[in-house]
Amino acid sequence: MSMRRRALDFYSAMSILPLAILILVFFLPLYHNLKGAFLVEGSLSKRLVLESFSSGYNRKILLFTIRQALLSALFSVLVALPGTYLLSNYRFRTRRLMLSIANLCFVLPSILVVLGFVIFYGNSGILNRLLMKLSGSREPPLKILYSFKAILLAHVFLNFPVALSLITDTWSHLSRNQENAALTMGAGSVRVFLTVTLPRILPTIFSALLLVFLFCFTSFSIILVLGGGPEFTTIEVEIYRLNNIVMSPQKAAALSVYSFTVNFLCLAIYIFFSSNLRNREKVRISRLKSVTSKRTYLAIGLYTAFMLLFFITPLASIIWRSFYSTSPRMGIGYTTRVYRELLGLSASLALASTPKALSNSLVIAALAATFSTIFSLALALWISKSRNGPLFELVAMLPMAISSVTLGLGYSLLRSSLPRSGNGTGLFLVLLAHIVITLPFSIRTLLPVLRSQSGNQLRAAYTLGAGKARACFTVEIPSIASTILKAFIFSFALSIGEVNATLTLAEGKVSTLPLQLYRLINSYNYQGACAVGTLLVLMTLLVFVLCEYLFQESSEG
Amino acid sequence: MSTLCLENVNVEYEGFSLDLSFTAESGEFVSVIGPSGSGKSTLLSIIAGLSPIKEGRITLAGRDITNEKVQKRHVGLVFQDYALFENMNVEKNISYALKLQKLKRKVIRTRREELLSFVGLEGFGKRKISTLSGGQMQRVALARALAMNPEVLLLDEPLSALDANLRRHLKDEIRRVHDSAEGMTTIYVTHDVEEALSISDRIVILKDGRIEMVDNPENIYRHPATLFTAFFSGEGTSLPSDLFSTDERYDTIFFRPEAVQVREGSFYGDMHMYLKLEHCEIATSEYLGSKYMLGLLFEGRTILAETDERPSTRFVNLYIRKPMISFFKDGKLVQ
Repeated sequence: MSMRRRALDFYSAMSILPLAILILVFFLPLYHNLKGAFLVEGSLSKRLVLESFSSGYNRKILLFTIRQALLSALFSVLVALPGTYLLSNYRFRTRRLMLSIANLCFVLPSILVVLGFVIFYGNSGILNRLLMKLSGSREPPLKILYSFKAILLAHVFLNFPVALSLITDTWSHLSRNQENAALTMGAGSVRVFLTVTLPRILPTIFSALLLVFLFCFTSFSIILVLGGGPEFTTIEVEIYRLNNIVMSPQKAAALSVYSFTVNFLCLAIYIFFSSNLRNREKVRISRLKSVTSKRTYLAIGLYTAFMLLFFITPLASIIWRSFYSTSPRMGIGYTTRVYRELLGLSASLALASTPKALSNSLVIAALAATFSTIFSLALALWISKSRNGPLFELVAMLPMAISSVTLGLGYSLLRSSLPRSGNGTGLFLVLLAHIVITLPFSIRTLLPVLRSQSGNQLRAAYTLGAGKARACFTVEIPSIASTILKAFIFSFALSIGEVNATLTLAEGKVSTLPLQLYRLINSYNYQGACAVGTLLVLMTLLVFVLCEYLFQESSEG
Repeated sequence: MSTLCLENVNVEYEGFSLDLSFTAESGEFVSVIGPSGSGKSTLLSIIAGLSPIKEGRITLAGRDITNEKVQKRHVGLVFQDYALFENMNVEKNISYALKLQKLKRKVIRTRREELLSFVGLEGFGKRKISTLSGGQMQRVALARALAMNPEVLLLDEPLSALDANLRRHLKDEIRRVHDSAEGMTTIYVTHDVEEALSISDRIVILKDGRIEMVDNPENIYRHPATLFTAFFSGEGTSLPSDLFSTDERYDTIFFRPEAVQVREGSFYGDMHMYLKLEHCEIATSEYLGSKYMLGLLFEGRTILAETDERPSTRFVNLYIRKPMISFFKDGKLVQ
C-alpha cells in the first residue's frame, strides 16, 4: 500500500466520527423540516410545498428578499471599491487601522449592529437629537429607521468590510508587472485599470457580490427589527413568523424548503465562481507605493474618517447610552442603574436573568467552538489530503446553504417530536445548532493554511520513524496551532453573537445574551439593551484584539 | 542615434541607494550583472520611468527624459515573469501597443503577423496565454515589447524561469532580435555571468548600487578592474602577494584556472614566464566534460587549475603564466 494511501486511511478514519456527527446534526433537522413540509396529516403530500412555491404572497416576499439582498450587495461592493483601491496600492499610516476595522466587523454580532443603529440613527437617537439641537427643529430630521433605507444601511455596515477584505486580499497580491508593461506601451492609468487590472479582480468582485448577496438573503434580525413592517418581510422573517407567531410549523417548514432551494443555488454559484480564484497570482505585498500626491492623501483621509464615523460611532453610542437614562420616570441623566440591576445589586425584572444569559452564552460558545474546531480540524485535514477534496469541501460547506432560521426551525420541529424536552434538551439543541453554523467558517479558516503546507515536514517525520498518528499530532497539528486557535476564536465569536437559530428554536426557553438583547430592544428598554450590548461589545473587542494579535503573529512568522 | 545616457543618477530607498552614470550607445547590447540587491532591476525601472530618481539626468537620443511619463518614453520592457495579460489571447497582447498608437486595423494585423513570425510563433495568435509553454510566453513578451518599435529594449532576467537548453537557444534569438532592429539599444539584466559574457557588446557590473566596472566581455574577464569583478565574472584564485614578493605596490595576485599548468614531473618552458608553486596537494578533482577542474592546496590556500588529464600523483607542481596574473592593491587593479 502506498504511503499516500496509508496516510489517507488514517485521516479518513480520524474524520469518520466528526463526519457522522456533522451529518446527524445537519441532516436531522433538515429531515424534520422536510417531514414537516411533505407529511401532511400522516400522509405524504406535495401540497404545502407547491402552495408555498406558487403562492403570490410568497413570490412577493421572494422578490423583496432578492431585491434587498441585491441592492445591499451592490452598495456594499460600491462602498468598498475606493477603499480596496487605496489599501491594495498604497502604503499609509492608517492602512492597518482600516484593515482592523474591517476585521472587527467579521466578529460583530448582527444584533449589536441593530442596537447601534437604533441608538444612533433612531428617530430619538443620538444623531437626530444632535441635529434637532443644531437646527432648533422639534421634528427629527432623519427618518431612517423602520424603512428600506435602514435595512440597506445596516447590511452595508455589516457586509462592506467583507467585500473590502476579499477584494483587497486579491488586489494587493497581484503583481504590478502587467500594469507596468501596459504603462511602458503607452497606456494611461484609466486604460490600464480597465484593460489590465479590472479583468483580474472582476472574478473576486463578483464572488464578493455573491457572498454578500447570500449573507443578506438570509439576513434575519436586521430585517425583523429595523424593517419593522409587513412590506419589508423576507423569506427568513416569514418562516419565523409562521412558526413562532402564527404557530403553523408545517407552513414554515414548506417555506423553508423554498428558502433552502434558493440558498443552495446561490451557494453553488458562489463555490463555482470562487473555485476559479484559487490559481490567482501571489506576490508579496511589499510592492505597495508610498503616497506622493495630495489627492491621494485627501482620499485616504476621507475614507479613514468615513470608516471611523460609520463604524465606531454606533458602537460607542451603545456604551454611552448604557450610562444615560432618558426615562422621565427614572430620571433623565447619567446613571449606573442598569449595571447595578444587571449585577443583581438592585431589583429588576428585565435584567435579572442577564447573568444566567451570560453564563449560558459563554458555556454554549465555549462548547460549540471546541467541538466545531475539533470536528473541522479532522475534516479539513482529510479534505486537504483527499483527491476528492473539493467535493468533500462542498459537503462540509452545506450548512452554509441552510439559513440559520431554517436550521432553528428544524431543531424546533425535532424538539417537539422528542418525548420529553426540558431546559437541558433546549440548551443541548442550541449547542448542536451552533456547531452546525460555526463549522463551515471554521473549515474555511483551516483549509487554506493546510493546503498551503508542502507536506515535507510530515514526510520528514515519517522518515525519522514517526507513525501517521504521531506525525499528525506532533508535527502537522502543532505547525498550524495559531490557525486552529483562530478558528476556535471565530467559532466562539459567531456562537456568542448568534441570534437567528437560537430565537427560532428556543424562544422563551433558553436565554442567551443576544436573545436577552433582542427582547430588551423589543420591549423598548434601550438602556438595559445597551448595558447587555456593552457586555457583547466588550466580548467582541476581546475576541477581535486576540485575532489581531494572532493575525499579526502568523503574518510575521 | 538613440544613445541612452544616465548622468549622476541617484535613487534612495530604505537601506539602499543607487548612484551611477553610464552611457549605452545606439544599437549597443549592454548586459547588467551583479549580486541580488545590487540594483539591477531598479536600474531598469528608472530607465523605463516606473520609479522616480532623486537626482541626476536621463537622456535618450539627446532629449531629456528624466521627467518624461512612462507612456512617452518609447522604452520596451520584458519582465522576468513575462507579465502577459492573461485576460487577452496572444494576438491581443501583441496588438495592445499598436492599438494605443491608433493605427489602422489592417496595419495592426500586418504588423502583428510580422511580429508573430519574427519570434517563430506563426499560428499562435488565437492561443490563450495559459496554454503556452515558458519559452512561448517569453517570445510573446518579446514580440509585445517590440511592437511599439522601442528605442530602448529592457530585458529583466527574461530567461531565468527557463531550463538550460531553452535558455541557450533563446539567448541567441534575443541577440538576433537585437541585431535585426536597427539602432535599438538593449539593456539586458541577468544573474548568469556566462550568458552576459557570450551575448553582450559591453557589460556593466553593479555592486551595492554602484558600478564596479563597465567594459567589453573580454576585458571584464581578462583584466577585471576590481577583485570583486574578478570573482564575479568567473572562476579564479587570489593569493596574498607576500608569498612571492616584497613589492608593496600590490597586496594580492589573481589568476584564472586556465593560467595554471599542472605538472607531475619536469616542466619544459621559459621559466621567466611562469610563477612556480611546488608540492601542491590535490584536494578536489571535478570532471567538466572537456577538462578537469582541480582544487589544490598550497600553504593552506586553495588554488583552482584546469587540466586536460587527471594527474596520477597526489602532489604536483604548478606553473602560473605571469602575463595572465593580475595584481591588486586594496581590491583595485594595479596597472
